[in-house]
Amino acid sequence: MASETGTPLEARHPAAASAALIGKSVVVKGELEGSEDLTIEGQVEGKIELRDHTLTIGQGGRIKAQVFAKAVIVCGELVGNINASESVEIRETGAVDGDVVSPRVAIADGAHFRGSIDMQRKGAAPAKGAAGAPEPATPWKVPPSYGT
Amino acid sequence: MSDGENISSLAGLWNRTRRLLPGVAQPSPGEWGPAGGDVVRLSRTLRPFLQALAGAPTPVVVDLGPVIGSNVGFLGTQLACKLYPEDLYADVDQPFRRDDADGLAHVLDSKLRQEPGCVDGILAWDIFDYLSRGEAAALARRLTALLRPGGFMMALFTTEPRHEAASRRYVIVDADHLRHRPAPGARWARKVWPLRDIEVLLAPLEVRQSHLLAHHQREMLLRRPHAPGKEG
Repeated sequence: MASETGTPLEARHPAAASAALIGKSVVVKGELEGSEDLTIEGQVEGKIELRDHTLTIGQGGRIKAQVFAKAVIVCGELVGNINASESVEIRETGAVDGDVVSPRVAIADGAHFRGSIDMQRKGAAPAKGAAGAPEPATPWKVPPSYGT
Repeated sequence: MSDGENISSLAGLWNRTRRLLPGVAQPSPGEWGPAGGDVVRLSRTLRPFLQALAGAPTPVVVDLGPVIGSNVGFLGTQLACKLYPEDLYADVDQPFRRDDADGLAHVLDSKLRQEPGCVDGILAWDIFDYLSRGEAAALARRLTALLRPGGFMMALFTTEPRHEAASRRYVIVDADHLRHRPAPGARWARKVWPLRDIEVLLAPLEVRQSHLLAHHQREMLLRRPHAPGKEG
């Protein structure tokens, strides 16, 4: 499979080699659910759920959606929140406006990101965020002062 | 854009053009390393900052610097935190009128939207060096209100007047080292804050550590005190 620019899609997105593809002329409005990896080069508005699989947003991809997946790779534009159980990777050409929840987040130099990043580990208490936060039950470990 | 590059702004263009004019100070050789680029410097407060936050279950951290991928990865690995990268450097670069504390207040309203008293740690870097007194006071008020009692802020202050033709960004190398990276920006003239002024500016935060480093920078770790009778 090759794009019009001549660069093989698999070369640009390794995950695309065996993934389903939404081509760049395709516009989807609504909910997308799947049980296989998915690469999007087109436009999607709504909600995307690939709970146990990888979502790759290609360089031409324009997404306005809430995303739930195991792993998310962003090379295009995404407006919306990402919830990934494994990892989120925003490549150099990627742009994300939204909040990210994932234990591992990688942002390349040159990528655009605006939002918050919640990297809490599985089983950890949820981050305090906007709601009023209770005091932690145990006092913090305060480092020794070195003086001036 | 990440890393605070504000290539498209007129202010940034003016700043870059201005550096080419005769009589405009250039970075001294060695200031940014042999190639005039990044240089790695010792940090004395980053490790204690991380240690202090490591005790919180899922700390909320506000980073006033630009989105730097390696910083995000490092903080995620070390703290498993909820991170708000706010990049105030890009905002103070906007060509709004200096000494216009209200102008900065509008920026702060749109950026620092966290609930007061809910933030465990703030990485302020050297943002205060680039602000007027009025702007710095407005920012300090907002930051101190964001911190929870017992929360920590790490801040850096230059200790000598300089006319570097670049502002700085900070890339975490490890818990003891920061990479100082020059970055273009409209505001690169740095103010020197006397220690007493810093303490007044950031009151009621208490100074836990203050290190005067060889590269003419003061690193400070400050903490918002608990209410009387609640100290752990």
